[in-house]
Amino acid sequence: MIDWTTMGPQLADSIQQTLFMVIVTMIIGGILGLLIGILLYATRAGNILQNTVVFNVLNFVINIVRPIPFIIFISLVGPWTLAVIGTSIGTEAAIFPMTLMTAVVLGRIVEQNLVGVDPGVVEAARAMGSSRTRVLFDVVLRESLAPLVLGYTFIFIGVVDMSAVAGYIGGGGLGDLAITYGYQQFNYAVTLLAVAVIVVIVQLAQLLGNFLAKRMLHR
Amino acid sequence: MTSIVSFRNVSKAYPGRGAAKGKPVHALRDVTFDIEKGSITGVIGYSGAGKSTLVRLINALELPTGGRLVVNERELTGMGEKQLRGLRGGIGMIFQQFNLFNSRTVSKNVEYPLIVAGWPKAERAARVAELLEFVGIADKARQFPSQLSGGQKQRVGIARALATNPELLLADEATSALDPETTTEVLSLLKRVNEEFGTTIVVITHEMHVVRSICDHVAVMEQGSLLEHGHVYDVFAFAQNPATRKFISSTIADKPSPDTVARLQELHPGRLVTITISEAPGSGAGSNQRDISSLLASYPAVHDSVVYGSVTEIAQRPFGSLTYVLEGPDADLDALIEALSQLTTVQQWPAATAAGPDDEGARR
Repeated sequence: MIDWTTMGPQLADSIQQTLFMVIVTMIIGGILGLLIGILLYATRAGNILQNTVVFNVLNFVINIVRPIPFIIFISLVGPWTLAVIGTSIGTEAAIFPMTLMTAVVLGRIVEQNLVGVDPGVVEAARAMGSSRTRVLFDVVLRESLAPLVLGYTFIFIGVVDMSAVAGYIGGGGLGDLAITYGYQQFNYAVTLLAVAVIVVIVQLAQLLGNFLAKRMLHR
Repeated sequence: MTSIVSFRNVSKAYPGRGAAKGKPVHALRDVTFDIEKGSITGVIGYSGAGKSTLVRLINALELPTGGRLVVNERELTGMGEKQLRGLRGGIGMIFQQFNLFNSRTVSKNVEYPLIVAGWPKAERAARVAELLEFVGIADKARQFPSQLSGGQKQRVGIARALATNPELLLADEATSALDPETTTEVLSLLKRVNEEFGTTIVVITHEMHVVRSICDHVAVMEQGSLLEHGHVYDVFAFAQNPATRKFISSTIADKPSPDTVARLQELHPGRLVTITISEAPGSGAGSNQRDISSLLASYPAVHDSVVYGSVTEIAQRPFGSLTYVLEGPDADLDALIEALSQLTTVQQWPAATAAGPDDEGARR
């Protein structure tokens, strides 16, 4: 069973580590993902920065990276992690591959939401004399805000999932707790505890996401 | 007459795609006509006729691939993107699907073109209030488009299109998504815009009743070409082109269909003729019906009865046709029909063609 005198502080540390990894990843990966998404959208044929080469390269990279299992991706980008972070183990080191993967996946989600904006609305704005750049920010991004929030909420769950795998390189967190104390020490109660906490975090994020999206949707 | 838009041999071709690669698609071919300042000009045609391309050329969302296009006394060809943006800002546009910004309130939708045009904030607020008042939805200012009915959405669209006081308003199938009652309301609002602000309106439509109710000029298009254009009445009353006639019969069911002709011929022995009713030439008032009646009365041996038809007004002038059955001595009938042909367009329904080949034997 659970010995709370030792497990209590352990759990608190793990929650803190998980939240740290997830939040930093969501912020940096979120911004990068938005930029990649906008770039993909803008370089598409017929759009403002129309550029077949940039579009195809980005598109190809995303298609290659996305299906790589995250645990393999961690060791694949290991040398870069070492170069950028200075170490390839620990919580900070886990954030690097998490951020990269998040940016790539989000890039695709952002692009799809932007492409989904009604072309009629874009035409209306252009007919008013709005420049293409202005249309991108005033209309395309603004009109797709609600689906973007839902996309980010969706990704949040994926990032929590990645953070669990990060235990493999000493990232710590709830996943690590469940593996080290629950699985390896045959303490099923700890596994259940870790799962329960993760479920709560994810549910809270989903509630917040739904709430924000609903406020922006105006339907 | 001053024209606000003039097309001179304008063509627009798109590069072919897919199977038709390399073969350009001609959306517009050699279109020449003027849109008169202060007019409401209808552009009518079936889908694929090139109407939408035509409006997109006027507000420079697309550029012609041939010919010259002058809008607001400015030659479009050779203009840079920045100049084109300025030109677009001076042309309002409303759409079939309204194309409102769903993430903005009604008043923010109307304000947007003013922001683009660089109006100061205080003036923007006053202008938005004025516009919403004009289109009759001042009470909806803080609502979002999804909370409005189709008619209300199009009113927002109109307010937004008029925000910068454009001289030209383009309406692309603006009533096609609305029910008949709302269509009438929106059309009368457009008419009011034209009368109160002198705004030139170009109405793109596939519905003849739209042209009939608000337009003073009309251009008929088919497969990228302009078939005829001119005053609505002239185009309607003296339509030469089969496509134009088809549009007219879609709104005024005055001419009998072949089936009806066959039925009428079975019911009424005698000669069946359809006579066009229009304004008496040269008079400027009244229809030619009086002359027709007098003529018919001058042939006492001929008995006439109206069996089909409709006479109505187009652009406040009489228009329609009546189908008569004429009975009497052949010589009189020939002379009467000849005399009628001098007055107006007379269509004789041949006795044989309306019936199918199966009836051939029976007649012999």
